[in-house]
Amino acid sequence: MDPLSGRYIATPLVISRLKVDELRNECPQAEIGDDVWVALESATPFWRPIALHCAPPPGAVALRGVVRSQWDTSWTVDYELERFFIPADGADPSVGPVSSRPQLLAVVRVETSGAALLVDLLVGGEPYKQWNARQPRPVEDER
Amino acid sequence: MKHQLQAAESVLAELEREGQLSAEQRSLVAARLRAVWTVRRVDFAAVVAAFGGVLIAAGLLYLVGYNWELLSKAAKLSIVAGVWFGLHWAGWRLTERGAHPLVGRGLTLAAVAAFGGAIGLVAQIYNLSAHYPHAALLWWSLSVPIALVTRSRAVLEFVLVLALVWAAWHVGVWIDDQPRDQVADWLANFTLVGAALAALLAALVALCDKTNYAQFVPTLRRPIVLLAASAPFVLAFEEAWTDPETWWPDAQDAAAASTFDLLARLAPVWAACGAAALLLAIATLRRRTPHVSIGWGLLAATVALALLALFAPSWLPLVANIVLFGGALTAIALASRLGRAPLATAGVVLFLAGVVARYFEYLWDKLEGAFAFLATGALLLGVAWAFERGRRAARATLSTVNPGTQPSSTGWRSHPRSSPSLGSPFARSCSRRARWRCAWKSRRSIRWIRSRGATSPRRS
Repeated sequence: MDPLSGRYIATPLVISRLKVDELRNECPQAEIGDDVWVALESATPFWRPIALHCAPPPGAVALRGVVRSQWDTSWTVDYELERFFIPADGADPSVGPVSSRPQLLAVVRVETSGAALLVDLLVGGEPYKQWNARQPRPVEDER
Repeated sequence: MKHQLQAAESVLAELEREGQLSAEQRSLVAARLRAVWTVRRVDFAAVVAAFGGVLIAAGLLYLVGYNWELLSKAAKLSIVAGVWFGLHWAGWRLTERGAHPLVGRGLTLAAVAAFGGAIGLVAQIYNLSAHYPHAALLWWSLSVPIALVTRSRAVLEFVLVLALVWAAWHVGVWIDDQPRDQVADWLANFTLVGAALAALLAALVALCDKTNYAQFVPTLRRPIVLLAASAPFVLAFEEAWTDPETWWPDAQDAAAASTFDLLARLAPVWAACGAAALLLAIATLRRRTPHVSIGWGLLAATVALALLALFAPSWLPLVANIVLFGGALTAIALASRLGRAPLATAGVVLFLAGVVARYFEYLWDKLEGAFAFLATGALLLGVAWAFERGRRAARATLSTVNPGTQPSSTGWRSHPRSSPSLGSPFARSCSRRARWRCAWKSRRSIRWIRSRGATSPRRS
């Protein structure tokens, strides 16, 4: 809950944790706090990272992020796409037993500069609004 | 307030009966007292109006927030912009053209508060999130023009609190992001940024003084002592600075670190010092007031403490103690010079806080059980006695040399020997900046006249 913006689901992305030795690292000198561009390629179920750049790569879909931590070849990159706001009484798909939680996929609009916007959240392949409308409302206690 | 006014009027009537005051002087003083206390009543109304504004803002935020999901993006943005502009328009209209300036100011304050809600709601509409508190930065920085246009102290206080919260929040996130954040990082960055901000506020005081924004001066001046004192007070504790691995826990890191790496550990401090130096330079070029000198002094002390923390941490507690006690004494001296009783009180409190802190730091372990309680109790009683005595003396002295100063808690009348009479030529010749020296000279002159008066018959 954000005091000004309201209720949200934290959406840490899988591509926030990068194994840089498994990518084409064209920015090995990047340090904590530096901007990096993570080039993505289409895959199923979500786009996967293929390269790391120090500047926007021409002709490629790349997300701009900031390196927050480096541990050996494991880097954490922050794309500032970590909040999906939901209604005050909306159902939260990120709670409940891990085995029964639906898969969450972020729908992101990316500019050529690498700036990105979290447009929607797919819950089990379904847009959040539709999924939420199907969820049972909690019964109000009338006592 | 009414009882105080009645008591003051009866004292004035008594003085008139005794022949100390003429009827004209009595009515003049009574009228001035009534005017001052009527203004105080208006201040209360302003506080109530401000609370009303804050409650309206909070209510609007809740109301819109809980019905939010039913609206389209365009409708949401229209509501956000409409409420914000509407509150500003109503506030301006009631203040400038209407007969309800306090309600108008309350609405303007509500609009400034609602701007934070507007930023938050836009972030919600577009699922925006940020690692650093950029929303708080936008909120206070874009509200500064509102404070300047309305010249409202309530708005300025709100903006100032937001700016300080943002500064602390940003520094906290920055330190958290560093690969090696030691205790020293947190202690030095927070306190020294606070001290640099005190220098920046001193520059703003100098820039606002004797301009159209002179009413901002008390608001800007108020946090200076607290911010400035936090650095020497916290850094004076020895424990954090005796460890040889203060900045680099790993010997290899320490060996590999360059001077630049070490300086970068206090990057927020240098940024705050740079901003303060820029404003102080502008203030120095425009005019030389005591606050410009105070600002440069604070900045110099901040830079000195920061460099010591980095390059000679073991010396830091000693120097911080010197700065702490020197600063407290300087505050008391400045209070006398500027005729500001609250500054004298702050200086005394700072000095005593330093004494108590050093007592607990160095002597607590050497005492046991009952002795600890006895000694602590005795110390606190002594501190309270000394503090109250010093405070009364300072306030009594200042109230005699500065007509604007509040009376001492013991009453309106001060010692007759220490107060220049109303018609004294010495009192009239006192300039605003040298009241203390002038009053001292006046007292000496009065004593000299009295001694001459006493001895002259014998001489003749």
